[in-house]
Amino acid sequence: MVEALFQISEPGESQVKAACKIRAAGIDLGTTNSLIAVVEAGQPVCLSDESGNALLPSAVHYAGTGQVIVGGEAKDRLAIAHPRDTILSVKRFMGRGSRDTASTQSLTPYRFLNEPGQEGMVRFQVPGRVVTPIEVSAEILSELRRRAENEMGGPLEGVVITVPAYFDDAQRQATRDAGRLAGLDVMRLINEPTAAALAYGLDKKLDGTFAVFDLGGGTFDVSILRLEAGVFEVKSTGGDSALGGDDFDRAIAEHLLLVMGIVVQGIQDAELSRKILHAARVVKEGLSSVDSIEMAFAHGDVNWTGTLTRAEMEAVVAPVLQRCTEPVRNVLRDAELQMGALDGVVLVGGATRMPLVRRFVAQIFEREPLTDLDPEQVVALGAAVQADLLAGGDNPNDVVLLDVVPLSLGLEMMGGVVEKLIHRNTTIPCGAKQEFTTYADNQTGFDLHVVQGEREMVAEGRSLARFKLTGIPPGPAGMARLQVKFMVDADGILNVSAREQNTGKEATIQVKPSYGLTDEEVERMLLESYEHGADDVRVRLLAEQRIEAERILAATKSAMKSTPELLLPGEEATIAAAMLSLENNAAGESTDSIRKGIESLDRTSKDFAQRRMNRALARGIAGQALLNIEEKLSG
Amino acid sequence: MRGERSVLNEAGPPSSGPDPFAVFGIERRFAVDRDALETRYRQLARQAHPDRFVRADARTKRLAMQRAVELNDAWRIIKDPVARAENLLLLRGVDVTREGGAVRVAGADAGDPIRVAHDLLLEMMEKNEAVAEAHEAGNSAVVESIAREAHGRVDALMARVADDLDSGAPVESIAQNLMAVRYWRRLLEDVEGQHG
Repeated sequence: MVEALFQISEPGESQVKAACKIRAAGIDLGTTNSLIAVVEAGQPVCLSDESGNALLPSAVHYAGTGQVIVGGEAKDRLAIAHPRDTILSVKRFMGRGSRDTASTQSLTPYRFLNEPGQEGMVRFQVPGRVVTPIEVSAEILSELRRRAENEMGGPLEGVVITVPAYFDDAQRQATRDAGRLAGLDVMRLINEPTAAALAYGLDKKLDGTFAVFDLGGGTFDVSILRLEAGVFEVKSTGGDSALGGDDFDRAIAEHLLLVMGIVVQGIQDAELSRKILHAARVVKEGLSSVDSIEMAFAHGDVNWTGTLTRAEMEAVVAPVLQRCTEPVRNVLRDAELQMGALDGVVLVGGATRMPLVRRFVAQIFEREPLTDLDPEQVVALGAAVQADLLAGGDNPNDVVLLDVVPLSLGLEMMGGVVEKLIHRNTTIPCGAKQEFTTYADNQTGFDLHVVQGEREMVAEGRSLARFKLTGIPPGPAGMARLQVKFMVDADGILNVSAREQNTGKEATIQVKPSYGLTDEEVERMLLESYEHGADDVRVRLLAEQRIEAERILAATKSAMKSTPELLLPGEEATIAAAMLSLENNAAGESTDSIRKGIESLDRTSKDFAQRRMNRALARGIAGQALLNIEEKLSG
Repeated sequence: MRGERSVLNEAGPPSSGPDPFAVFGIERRFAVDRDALETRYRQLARQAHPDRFVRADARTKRLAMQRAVELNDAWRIIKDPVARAENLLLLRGVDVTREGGAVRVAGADAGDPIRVAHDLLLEMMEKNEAVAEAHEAGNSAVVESIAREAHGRVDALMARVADDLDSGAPVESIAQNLMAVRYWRRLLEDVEGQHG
């Protein structure tokens, strides 16, 4: 079992070879609709429900009975009948605090636990409980998981979930947590435009420089990508994480209310706001194919009938669409690209079906956009391709994605100024170290405030996290030497560690708290979730830990076999002892003791692993081709 | 401790990882074959990418990621002429990236500053004022002409830096020119507006 699972020849030099491919899928967790796709016989396909719909409306209804209903029924029927208990467009609230979403909360019918503008994570009051946006998203993911498992006839073992490129750290964390809560192994988060390019690139075998214009329900992304010899490199990315088709709906709804002479009482009239938004959506979709539309609207004593023309609607929507202009200019500038150097423009997102949007794109990019693939499916298709690559299947195309940090990451300095450690559009994974010192005499601690954004001042950026490092011996200002390390992983998620160099005091956090869940909270929610019994969850955690044990055992065993010359005298015996003890623990039923066994083996073999990595690095520099090394090691 | 906020003060440069020239196995020279190195970067990036280790054990993942980080960082420096020049000078013991001027970071005189030339400071003050005035008066022609001048000056300075670095000129004059590049680039950022 251990040997069959996989084998590593040389860290960093070879691909992890899977004996068998795992069941993997790509998920587009959208604002309005979500999709799941898999690769079948080399081609990505979206999976449909029993009625043949690939799109799962991102609508979650919480019934008084405790039942949760996801999808079309929730969107079309329950959202009208029970607007407060049916959450739509939850993506807009992911990783957000009540303070950020105050503007989004107008014309929404929900009961928020916190008043708009207050501190704290957004929480919805639904019958019998309070749910976070992460839990609501997890319901959508669970529904997609069921769809895939029915289709594939077995458990889904790994997924890739897409996020808007412009999602910040908190929003990415929230998405990852939602996946975990839905019982999914999230192998990777990838950016939606990158996924779209992947779907196009592989399908069309395109090489060149492309713009991806992605206008979804709630977010706008624009990216410049270069596809060359299997390497997909994101050159720059920009957008607006609070701009999308929903804003068109809202603009149209407000226009309709004006035309009908209805005065809105803020967010109090939940039924009216839901109905008028629904009407706006119908109007918008209808006017994408016809020039004018007859409509009737009844609410209270209002009974309105009238005609709406496409021109009228476009006039209402145009100012919202104009907000896309600046991000487009910025990404072109960041990519150091002239308009003429582009090879194509890819359209993504339901909102790009609107003729007005297509005209806008054609005009701003000075060319007609590509529309071969369904703009609503293309992201899920690309995610499936990436999931398939990661699942360890045959990979003839051998594609690698090089994505970037969407927004600069920095620390608050004295005076509220941001010191950027990692600049936007840096290729991930990436890291940065910088040294800081004390500002005041006898200062015994550091307050670290991690900020994301482009502005110079903290107040204008997004606060990601605060943490403290205390216990610095008192001394004159400038004595202490604090080294802060930022590390952004391939999911675009930030880890920060800080170490005072004189005392060796250390603090590490995965940047989480501001508007996310802690690991403990996620674990508790998992255990409490009514869907899996607590026992199921324990079984799963045990199984996950056993797999991790098998992986490290296999890796260590193969490392010792292939490079015994890198072992120091006596090292072999200590590592072997740690392996034996982990093997014993893994045969037992205690997740905790397996975890401890892994940690102990990790500790004992760390230096050996580092030596191997160093040698691999030296070989890489010496210019040895990857193939040679693999041949030598396996031959 | 209570009530204390934002107690950080910058002490040092963003220290990069290992010597970026060593990561690519090339000589420490300013002149590089960018296209060849880009191909090289893509090859190395493929090998080190975390996607290749998704199903590996946690430690292998960590080590692979470290390596990918070093590689990306090295490429970021190598591909940008200014960053590359600053790094070469750092390898020769002078850090020009600090606020307030260059500092010697190695050797017997470590810690000694190399002060920004007075003339440069005066010139930058004048330019900044001119930009502020032109902005206020809405005179975009003046702003554009200053931007053009700044671009020209950066190009000329970098051409000199390129020659000096590869001919072994004294670090002091290179440091002066690179500090001037920093000032002109900052002015350009203000003029062309870093978007938010």
